[in-house]
Amino acid sequence: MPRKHPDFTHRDKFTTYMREALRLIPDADGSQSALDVPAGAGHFGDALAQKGYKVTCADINRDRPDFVAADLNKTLPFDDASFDLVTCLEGIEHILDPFHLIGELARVVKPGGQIVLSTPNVMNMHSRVSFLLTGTLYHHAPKNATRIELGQPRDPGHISPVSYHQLRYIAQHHSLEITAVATDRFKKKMLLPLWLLVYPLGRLWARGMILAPPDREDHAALRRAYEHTFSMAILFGRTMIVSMCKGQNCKTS
Amino acid sequence: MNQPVITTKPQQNQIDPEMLKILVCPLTRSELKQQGDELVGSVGGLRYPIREGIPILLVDEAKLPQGINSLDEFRQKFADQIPD
Repeated sequence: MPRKHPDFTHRDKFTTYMREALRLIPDADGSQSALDVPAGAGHFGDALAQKGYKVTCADINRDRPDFVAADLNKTLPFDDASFDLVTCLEGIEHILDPFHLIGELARVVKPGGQIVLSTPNVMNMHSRVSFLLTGTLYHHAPKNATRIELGQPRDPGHISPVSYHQLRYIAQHHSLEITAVATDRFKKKMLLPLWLLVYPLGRLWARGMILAPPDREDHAALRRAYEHTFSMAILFGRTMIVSMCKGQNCKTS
Repeated sequence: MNQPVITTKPQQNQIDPEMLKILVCPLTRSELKQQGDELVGSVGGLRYPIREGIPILLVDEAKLPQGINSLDEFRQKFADQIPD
């Protein structure tokens, strides 16, 4: 099918980050519903359907007749608590207001439901070295963004870097808990020796950050967060893939 | 292996009733009802087109109700029914 909307990017194949995101999602029995947004070319939505979900695909690109046309910068056109699963792969970095988007994802997922989100991992070692040398984060250099007129429905490129910590902060505001972190593949393996420096020193430094604010949050939750941020997925992964649960009694891995 | 489940009818502009239950107007978050080739918001009556089976739920492409000349005017008139 010819591409109808040339102003929006998408992957026209089933990618490695889709494969790894799929691993975080349990099989469904046909009664569970899922929303994939932005749906891109629809490959991930198709994979969710094969996993047993009743899938709704939404994207502003209108590439397929089974899509719903929706703008991720605005209110999503779905009722509250409509889906057991909501997936948002490689979308949030294109959005003007990540806080608003995550709020919308949290609104349309059911209590106890799952959100799986992926974005370029701006906390990996490549990104840290890039920031040191150039001041730009991984996949968020000026070349990754496009100048647009505000209000025009056009993909601006990568304009909103979202780190694990920022995502976690926003998620908490919407009663979401990060339960798992994964990646698709390593970025710049030549930087692996940096692990010998960053891991022990970083954990030592972070330990002070964990113990510092006892009045703000329980230490166990912060320790879980630092287990995630010192994982190989975050330190070296190309894509940050995060699974979140809405509400209480979420199982954390 | 299960076949992909398509929740809208791709060949015509008839929206699946199950799908319609979860669709809302992206401005007022009110339910939508199908009238011909359009989905109409129950609050305010914004009319969203259905093109080639795809509900175009973009506020900028919605038709305004009679007597209202702009989205700003719509927002003002229905301000108390538009969620934050």
